Amino acid sequence: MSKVPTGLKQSLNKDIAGLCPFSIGKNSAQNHCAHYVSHIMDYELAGPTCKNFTFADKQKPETGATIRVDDIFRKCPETGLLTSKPAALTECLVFVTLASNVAKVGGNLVMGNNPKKHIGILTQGKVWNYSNSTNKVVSDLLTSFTNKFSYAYKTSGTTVEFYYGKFL
Amino acid sequence: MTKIIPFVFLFYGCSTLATDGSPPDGEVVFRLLLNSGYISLKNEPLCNVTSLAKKNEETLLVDHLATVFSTSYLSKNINTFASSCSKSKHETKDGKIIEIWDCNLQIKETSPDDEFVSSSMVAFGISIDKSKFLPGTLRCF
Repeated sequence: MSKVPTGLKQSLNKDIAGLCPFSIGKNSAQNHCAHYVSHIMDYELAGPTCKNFTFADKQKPETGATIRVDDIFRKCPETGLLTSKPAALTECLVFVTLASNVAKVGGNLVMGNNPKKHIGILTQGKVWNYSNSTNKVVSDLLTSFTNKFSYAYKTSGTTVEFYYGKFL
Repeated sequence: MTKIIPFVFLFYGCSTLATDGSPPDGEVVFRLLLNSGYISLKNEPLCNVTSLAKKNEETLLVDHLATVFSTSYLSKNINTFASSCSKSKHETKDGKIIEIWDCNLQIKETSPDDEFVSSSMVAFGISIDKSKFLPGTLRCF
């Protein structure tokens, strides 16, 4: 039984403003990758959300969504290097950040505050994620996704690393 | 009627002084933010991030600012900064609703080809009289 909502496919090519009723959804300068995943997967964790970011938004009746990648990563029941993902796990979250932005703390992987990080939903071989360059939802083949972010985040002296996370 | 007019002006003058609709000066905003660099983020529920640059030490606001300011350091990428303040409200820990200036600093990192690379936002409250950074109002995105 898939945990991916059936509404995923309808989100393709949508701008975050079409998925989020709060003011942060209208800010196209920000990274909406975790925000997109959280609206699709109904993640509203402790910490900043699109609803609690401003006083006016808190007064609205709609449900909020988590906006930070590291907050979702911390709550995944299991995380690990994407290269170590169990073959049977065909649907999960996919994370990318700098290798220096993840450390093992108390037996668990913890993601730090470096802004070079991204998240998508892996299902049927494709990673559904929010393209902040084009401000719309895209679905990339896993290899295209890893190539794209290996190039975007790579700088001299850094290593770009990919992780999987089981759905919350 | 002529006796009423001075009272009208007096009332208008007092009410304008009390609310002072103009946003705080940019240098005041950044001075208040940077002067608050040594607050611990464990006390800021919406900015409780982890800096892995400082192992086994608590993360301070200055650590987070250092991380987000330095994203394009020694690379050809470009960081652009945008900042603003607008009048808003804040609910204090004891449930009081107070008026504040809600300010934010946004940083966007782009490649030389103008492709999005990363972004961050630090939002924070300043007292309505523009004199204090308000603990408990930090939000980090």
